[in-house]
Amino acid sequence: MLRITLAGVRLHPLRLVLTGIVVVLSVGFAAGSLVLTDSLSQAASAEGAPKADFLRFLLLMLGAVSLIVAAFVIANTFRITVAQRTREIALARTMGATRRQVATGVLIEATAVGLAGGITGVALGVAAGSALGVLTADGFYEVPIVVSAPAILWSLAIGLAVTVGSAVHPAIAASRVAPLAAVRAVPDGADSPGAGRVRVRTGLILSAIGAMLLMAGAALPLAGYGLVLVVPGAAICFLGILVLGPKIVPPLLRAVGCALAAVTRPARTTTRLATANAARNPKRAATTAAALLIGVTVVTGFVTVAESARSSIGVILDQQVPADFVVTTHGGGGVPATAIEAIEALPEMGASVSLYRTTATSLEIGDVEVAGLDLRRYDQIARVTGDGSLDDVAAGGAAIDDVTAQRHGLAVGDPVTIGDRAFLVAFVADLRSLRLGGVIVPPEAFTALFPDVGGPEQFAVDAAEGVPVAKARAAIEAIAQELPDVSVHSNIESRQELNRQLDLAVSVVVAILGLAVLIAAIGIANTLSLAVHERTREIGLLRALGVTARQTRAMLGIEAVLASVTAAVMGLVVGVVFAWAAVSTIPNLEFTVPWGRLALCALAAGMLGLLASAVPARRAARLSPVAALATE
Amino acid sequence: MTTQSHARHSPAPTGSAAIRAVGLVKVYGEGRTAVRALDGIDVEFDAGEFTAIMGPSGSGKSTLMHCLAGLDTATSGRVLLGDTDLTGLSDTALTLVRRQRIGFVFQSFNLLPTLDARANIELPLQLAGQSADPVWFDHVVEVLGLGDRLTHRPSELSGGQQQRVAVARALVSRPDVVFADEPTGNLDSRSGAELLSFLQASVLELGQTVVMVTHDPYAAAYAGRVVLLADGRLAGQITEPTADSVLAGLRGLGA
Repeated sequence: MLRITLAGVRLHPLRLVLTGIVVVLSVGFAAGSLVLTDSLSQAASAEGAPKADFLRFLLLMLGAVSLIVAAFVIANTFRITVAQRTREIALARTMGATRRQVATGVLIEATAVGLAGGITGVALGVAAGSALGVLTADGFYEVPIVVSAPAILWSLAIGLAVTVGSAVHPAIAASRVAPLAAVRAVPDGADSPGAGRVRVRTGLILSAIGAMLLMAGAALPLAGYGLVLVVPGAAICFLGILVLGPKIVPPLLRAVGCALAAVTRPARTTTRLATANAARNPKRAATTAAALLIGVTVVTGFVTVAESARSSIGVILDQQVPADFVVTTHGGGGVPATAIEAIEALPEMGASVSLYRTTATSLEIGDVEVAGLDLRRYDQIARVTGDGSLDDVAAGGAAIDDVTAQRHGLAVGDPVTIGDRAFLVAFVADLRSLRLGGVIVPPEAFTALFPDVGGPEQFAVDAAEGVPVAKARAAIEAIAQELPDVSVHSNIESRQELNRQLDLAVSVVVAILGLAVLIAAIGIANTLSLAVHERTREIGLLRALGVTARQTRAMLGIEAVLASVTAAVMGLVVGVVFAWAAVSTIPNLEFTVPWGRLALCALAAGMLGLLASAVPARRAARLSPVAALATE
Repeated sequence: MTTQSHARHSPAPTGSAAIRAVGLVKVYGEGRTAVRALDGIDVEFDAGEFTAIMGPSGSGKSTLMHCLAGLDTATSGRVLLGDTDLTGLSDTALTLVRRQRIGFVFQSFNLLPTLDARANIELPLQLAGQSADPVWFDHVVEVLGLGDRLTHRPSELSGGQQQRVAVARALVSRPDVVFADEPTGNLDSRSGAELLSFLQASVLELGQTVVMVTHDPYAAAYAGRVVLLADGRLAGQITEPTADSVLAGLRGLGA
């Protein structure tokens, strides 16, 4: 049996090399992450700082995505090779090889690939992790590189488990090859009819349960705990989609192919041939797509949630007037009136407002935040929306936010008592526009009620129209410097700072997830090169009938692009839906779809597909028609 | 090329060569292991003629067909398709010649499994960005009895039907020459005879030029002429062949 295994190795060396690379990448990442976080934790504990546990968790979660994608790629590779070796296996069976021997042959090959790839991966991973550790260190912060035996053994074990585990199903399939298959004509690379009834039913049930959990988590008012439903819901739903893959992917491929054929008129026939090829083998197409689908879904979900967070930064910069500058004080007594006067006098400054704040007990509400704020002035800085009249508030009424109003059954016209004074609610403000919760009263009323509070907690001011922020900032800081305990910060700048941090986080995570996408692209290259091998005669026939070498290359390129773009589009849709559900569970977060980035993502997937087709397509184009037609 | 397409529509006068080989040599390998598969062949195939190429295994008959059909390039010598010299053409130019001026019927695996019969028949024309002349298409399909099989995939067709689809594909673009490589090799005798009658009819009634490689004397008897090959050289020809005269001729070659 070993001999047959070795014969197979000679048969498609590229397949094993590509599978090995997949193992190297996924195992390497795991090993590198372990070494890096071990080293950082060691360094941290030497300084009494917290360990790098969160980083480790994050890296391992991202590494798990790559490993899952790798498992799909490896399983597909073994399944295709077993299908292509049906005759060979059947011949071995007629000569007396047992089922067990046949299955063992496949598993031996998987073990060899897993070990070779794993060892290489660990070596590269340890090197990369150590290098990163050294880079993190500087003059003050020593990072001793820790390469522990568990880190190495775990990485190796996981790599081996994923490789051999992925080959189990193909090995069983190989053991089921009947000896008679040796004499039977092998259908051209077609596997069993795509999706059985059980598969469709299972897939639909899983998707439905997942979708229900997802919707429940997103829609029910669970005060931030919706994620507990959304995350498992998304996972189950995704599993359902994967199970349904052989049923969904081929029609989608055909649809995308049709669209492409309409665009590429002169190459229409080539596109049609490519579409037929891409969809001809439902299970294979589905598994190839699944690998990329996983990566793209995770990237899309992450980028969309991050984008939603970005657009909600204003909301997250909680309890602060969204003006260009906010002046605060460290000492008691609030922002001094002299400072406010001086700043208001600056020609660079526009609209401004003071915010007084304290906590008090209200008869109707209980403990509540009370703010003294001129809402009409605030409205000039940031539009306030809601029911009622701001003028009535200024005339001695009160405003409350809509969440508090709803919770306590208050509406315009109801009384709110604070201390010994009763106010009439004149305005119910949309919390999203106001960003201040509780009861808002005019500043004069506030200072009369709470004489101990002193000056305003914040003084917010916009730069005058047409004045650059930097210039306005210089002017305002010149004043602030002369006053002790007064500091100015710019909302725009802290927003930019938050944006920068968010961008960095997104880039790092997307780069790491890019590894999973790269592995999926290798999977496409692998599937395609095996398809070229399998379709040698067909390509020979096409060449004889007048398909040029260039058209052959284009045909395979289009096939790869179809596979990658279809998977990417599926991933974008699924990822955006999941992100929507996740964002819905978090109050104050506004769901925003980063269309530009997502389009870029689809484009990148298409390019990767094209790149993945390069080698197999070139090989196909180089086939001589005579030799190709003569192959068995 | 325009003069060629003109020639395709009017029955060519007999005697004018549709395709010919001049001093054709094909050597495989190099040095001491080199094999001369074709050793200086001069042969002509007239327009509107049905010719069978015969010879024992290894005589070079398939190699000759591959070189004539622009599937393979000769080591030396020339192949002239009408006025076009195929010997100097680039791979792409050769491909375009095959697409537009040559039809093929192979022994097996003639059809793309992903396309239905109609799409298979129209493939070479579609590649050239043309569509089939509907009258001609219907005629060919009707003559070959494929009318109710056009929407079937190859896997849903019998061996004989698959070969007929291949013949329809070869005829529908009205090529200068149809090359058939053991077209009946995988068929039972009845389907084989049927297919050969179609090829014969395409020559006699439609003026098509057909060159067929075969090792079957009964198949060769359908042709108007048999060219015999041995050891990469021309070894005679038989006009108005019968199975017996072909067998006798082959025996003369020591086969």
